[in-house]
Amino acid sequence: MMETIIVLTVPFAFSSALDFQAKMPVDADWKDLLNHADRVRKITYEEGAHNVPTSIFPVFEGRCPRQWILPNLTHLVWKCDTPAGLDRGKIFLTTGLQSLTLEVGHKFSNLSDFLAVLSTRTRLNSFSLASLGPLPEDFSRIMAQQDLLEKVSIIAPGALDAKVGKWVSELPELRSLKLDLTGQGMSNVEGFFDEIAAGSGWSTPDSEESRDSGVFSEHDFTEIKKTTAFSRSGGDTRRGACPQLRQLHLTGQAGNVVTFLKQLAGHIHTLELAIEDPPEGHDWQDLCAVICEKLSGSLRSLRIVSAAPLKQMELPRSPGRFQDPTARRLPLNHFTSLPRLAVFEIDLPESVLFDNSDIAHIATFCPAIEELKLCPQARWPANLPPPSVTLVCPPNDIIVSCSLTIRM
Amino acid sequence: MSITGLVNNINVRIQRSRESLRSTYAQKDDNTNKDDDSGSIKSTRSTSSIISFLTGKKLKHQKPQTEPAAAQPHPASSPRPSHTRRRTLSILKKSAASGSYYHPYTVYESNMSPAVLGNVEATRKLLQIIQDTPNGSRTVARLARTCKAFNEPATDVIWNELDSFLPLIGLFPGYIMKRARRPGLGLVRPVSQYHTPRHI
Repeated sequence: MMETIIVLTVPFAFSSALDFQAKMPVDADWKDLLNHADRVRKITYEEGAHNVPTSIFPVFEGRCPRQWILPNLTHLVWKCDTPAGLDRGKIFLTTGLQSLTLEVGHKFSNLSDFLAVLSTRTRLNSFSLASLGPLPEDFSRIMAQQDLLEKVSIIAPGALDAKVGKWVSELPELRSLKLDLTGQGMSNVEGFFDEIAAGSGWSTPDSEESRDSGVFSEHDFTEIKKTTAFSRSGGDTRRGACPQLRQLHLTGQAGNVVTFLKQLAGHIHTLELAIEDPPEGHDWQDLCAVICEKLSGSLRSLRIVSAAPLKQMELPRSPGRFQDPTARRLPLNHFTSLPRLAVFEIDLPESVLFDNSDIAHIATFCPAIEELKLCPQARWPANLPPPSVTLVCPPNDIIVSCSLTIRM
Repeated sequence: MSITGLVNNINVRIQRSRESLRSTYAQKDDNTNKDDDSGSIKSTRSTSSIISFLTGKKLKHQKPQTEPAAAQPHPASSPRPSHTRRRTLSILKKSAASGSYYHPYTVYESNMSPAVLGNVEATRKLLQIIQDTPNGSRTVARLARTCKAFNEPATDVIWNELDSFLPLIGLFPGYIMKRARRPGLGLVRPVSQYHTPRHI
């Protein structure tokens, strides 16, 4: 009787599905599905596409003749708009899962429960979470069991919490990190490192980095204190955070990126930055300086793009695009030395204009450059060819493979 | 001769040709002791042997290696026995002794290395590269249907990564999942036990 009711209700359980369930499958009906399910290593589910009847997931969970319907699954991409959609993903959290990409919306009260199930069942290599809602309060505690992570991406409110920073810094295998610093204050960005490598005198009121002096507790002097500390110590107050990190992807204002980079150890060889376009002049100068100061010995690939890619699409229709080119020039002469840099790309179409001195300077501070891309959105005058450019790179005076696009 | 007579004459000739072909294949079957569908045309056998040669796998209709060399459908379709290698070397020596650079095609063919496609991992990588090309999945699907030797690795690559659960759900029998004709219509909430049959 219950089955009959389910059969009757299933067609109405969703609104726009292409298929509906007419009958419960028996064991023989699973043969082909399970045979091919063994082959699946990566699968993507997008709840918003409404192309999969949600009624099939209880069938997967309750009627499948074996424990895991996808036993060899290693990569799972789960995009859901509702808490129920998130719960459906639990049946695919197999012990062999290595990579999880999770995208959730607002107000997912069951996110903590989902992550707890994830941590009990899996030991991931790669974890990516994009959430419109805040992270659970016990996020770092739950995820502490995931100690084999090599790649972490967290784009959510609360991702810069000190506990999250501590968890990230203690991941021994971590190689790649992606964070969103958009809209954060400098104190929030520095707060990510608050519980990392707390050294001698770190927590005393006399410390420059201490939040509480004990005297002016009722006032927030955090910004002033940190600015002072930065100026006196050369901006490298917490040297050596996340020394295991090799690839870093940051999104946000250039000032926040500068603040974040100052805290890191200088072992990063791939840096991708998505900053506002155009950046503030002094922020751009600080960014160039901190990159050269902190990462000159290790950086091999540097990519700086606009944080608002949709804005680029409107450029051709922008009436003032070519009216004041000097105001949008972003000089490269703030870069001093990146001797190991092989790949250099800048894609800031609203703010970057380059001239001959920039090209000549690139040859100076990037002697190992192999691939150079400056503003791929370039538009050339109709009656003139693209400018010819020669880079002379010591010591060989030879460019191995240099693809160059600039906007004049 | 009337048209009807001409047609009859042609039909008789066609019938004789078919009988002649059948007798020829039957004779070959007796010589080779084949017990399967030996009436298949020669080109099919040749294609199968090429695929078998490339994949390094043995097709079902081929004879085991313990049988005489005359029973092998193609010299390169399976690991060559020693006498075949000796024959190849003798052909090469003869060509070298005569001062000619010409080698029979069979020599080149038998010298082709099947190692790449004989390796499972290399085959998988190759099929993945094919899949990444435009219309690559369709090409791999065609390869999966080409022969049984390609079927398993190609099917593995096709099902390796899915963008949706729909392909899996589609493997249920047709009476499990049916297409909704008017998916926009439906009940506001599921039927509960409080609803009487009249409501349903």
